[in-house]
Amino acid sequence: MKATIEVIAKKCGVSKATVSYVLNNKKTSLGLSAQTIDHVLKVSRELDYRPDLVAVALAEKKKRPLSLLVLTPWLYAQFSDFMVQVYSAMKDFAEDNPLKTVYEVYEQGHLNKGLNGSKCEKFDAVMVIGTGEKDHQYLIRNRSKLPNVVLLNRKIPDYPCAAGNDGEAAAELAERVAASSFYENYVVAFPNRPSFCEQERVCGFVRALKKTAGITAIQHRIESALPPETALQKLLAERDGKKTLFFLPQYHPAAQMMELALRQGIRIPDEIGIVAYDLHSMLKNFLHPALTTIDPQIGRMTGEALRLACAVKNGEKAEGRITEGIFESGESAIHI
Amino acid sequence: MNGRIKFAGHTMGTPGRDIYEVIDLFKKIGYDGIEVRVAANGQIDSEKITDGEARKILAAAKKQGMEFACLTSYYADFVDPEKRQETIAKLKRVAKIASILECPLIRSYGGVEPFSKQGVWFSDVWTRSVSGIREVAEYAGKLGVGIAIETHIGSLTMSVRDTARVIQDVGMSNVGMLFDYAWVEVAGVETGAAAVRAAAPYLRHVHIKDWTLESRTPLKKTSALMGEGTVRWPEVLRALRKTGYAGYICDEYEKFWYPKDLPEPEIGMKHNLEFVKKFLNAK
Repeated sequence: MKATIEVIAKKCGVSKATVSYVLNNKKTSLGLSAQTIDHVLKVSRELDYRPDLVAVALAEKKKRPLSLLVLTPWLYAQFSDFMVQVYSAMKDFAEDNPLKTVYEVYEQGHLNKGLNGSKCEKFDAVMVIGTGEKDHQYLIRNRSKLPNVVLLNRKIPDYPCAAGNDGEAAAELAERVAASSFYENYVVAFPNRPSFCEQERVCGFVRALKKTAGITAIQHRIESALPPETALQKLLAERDGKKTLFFLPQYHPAAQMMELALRQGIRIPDEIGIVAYDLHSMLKNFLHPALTTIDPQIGRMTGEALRLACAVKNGEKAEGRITEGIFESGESAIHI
Repeated sequence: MNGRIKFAGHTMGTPGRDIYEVIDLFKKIGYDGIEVRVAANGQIDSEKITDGEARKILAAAKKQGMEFACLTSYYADFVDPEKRQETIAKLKRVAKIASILECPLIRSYGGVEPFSKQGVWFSDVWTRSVSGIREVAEYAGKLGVGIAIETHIGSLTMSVRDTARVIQDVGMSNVGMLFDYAWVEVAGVETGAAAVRAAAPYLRHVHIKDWTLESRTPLKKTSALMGEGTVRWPEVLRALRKTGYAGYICDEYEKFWYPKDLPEPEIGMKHNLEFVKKFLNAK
């Protein structure tokens, strides 16, 4: 029988903790007698006890701080409330878990220039944020070379991912406004080059409208994520004299549109309703009426990604986790 | 009783009178200090006044035993790249005049309205405003002048919550809050004694004014004498006394903006001062 701490403990009639304390020569408050210490040492010599070096190494590794590389295209983007929420969650996590973080920026679509196997080896885990289509292809092709990559707010098969349920949550939003039967006209507005998340949100919203209420939404493309007033004016014109509900898959343009409508004397939510996806942690304080939206809980999602990173570091199974978006009832639209 | 509170009149209440007339008037009313509208149509125009003229004004105030509580200019745009440097430079000039007048504070707006700048993300509006105020504060600090960010409509700082956030983000010891409770009540984030308690750690200066509020959106209100409007002043003043506040309470008598709604300052500002003192039970 291989000598383990458990075997020694059984033979000595003491606990595993006692044996561990004695063999590791730790100071303890257990108040062990000299007799117990001698007995444990004697038995371990008789059984030729040798520590399991792999287990020791793993235990040591678990004690080390998590060294984490965060790769994001939005590192210097002042507009990014997403990153503000990520930093905040990192700070909270670091209060209870030792964490050494390095941030690096990459250009969306060029992740290959910022991430490779040798870079991965320098860190316990690499958290990748804000990937585009080309980056996904790169990650899929190089899975074996990037063993410790964790994705935040993205889903790629075979990678540990902490992401949201954008499609489902947007569908819930659609169902809630459609169920009120208040609006005659539905417009979904999204940028010319929507992100993965925006695509999921728009698809979820449009499908749910069709499925639950037989409504076909007008799809309106806007020039950029930060549309000029002229673009929002064109969007407002889609209402065509009808009570219209607008869905925008991002918070900031929805807030801009609401402000523009109010400035023009359009009554919200009676003449138009506006619903959005996402939540801006500071901008929300400046909106009256409050915007009805889905809070994707970026902070909680980041916490999940960090737990995945820890699992990767500790050689444990790291399975993808979904953070459910929460419906935030505002006064910008009639809904149930 | 909190005998450390002092009282000032705002020259907003005295349109058409020059700074020397106001010094005499406010002395007669019973104020300790003066807050000055700094604008082309105010009692001091920071873009024209010379250092020598400022010293002359200081001498006149000292002769009457009056002091300057705050200089209030209207520069606010830290966001527009073309206007930002001009805003900062002009605020620095106001700080310089304040130092000559031995005035401890200048008022700053908490930036501009969040969506008043097309094509700029909200977070940029915020960070540019914060960094702009910080730059002015660094200069003013060297002159011994502080900055009081006002809780005011049309800015990033209408509520106590948002003003406190700007002050924290600026992170300078000479930057605090100008608590204009009437606007805080309109913002509706904090009201009454709770608003005072939330503002207390940041208080540098306090404005009082009363109005009858008919509608928040769209904003519709009529100026009134203290105690005759809808603002919850008795509760707020009692709460303010409990905080141990030791600065100026200034009557921002809005005669300049609403001349028909308010009587002449000899009557209205005197009434307001007596009203406030009654609740503060001060000297």
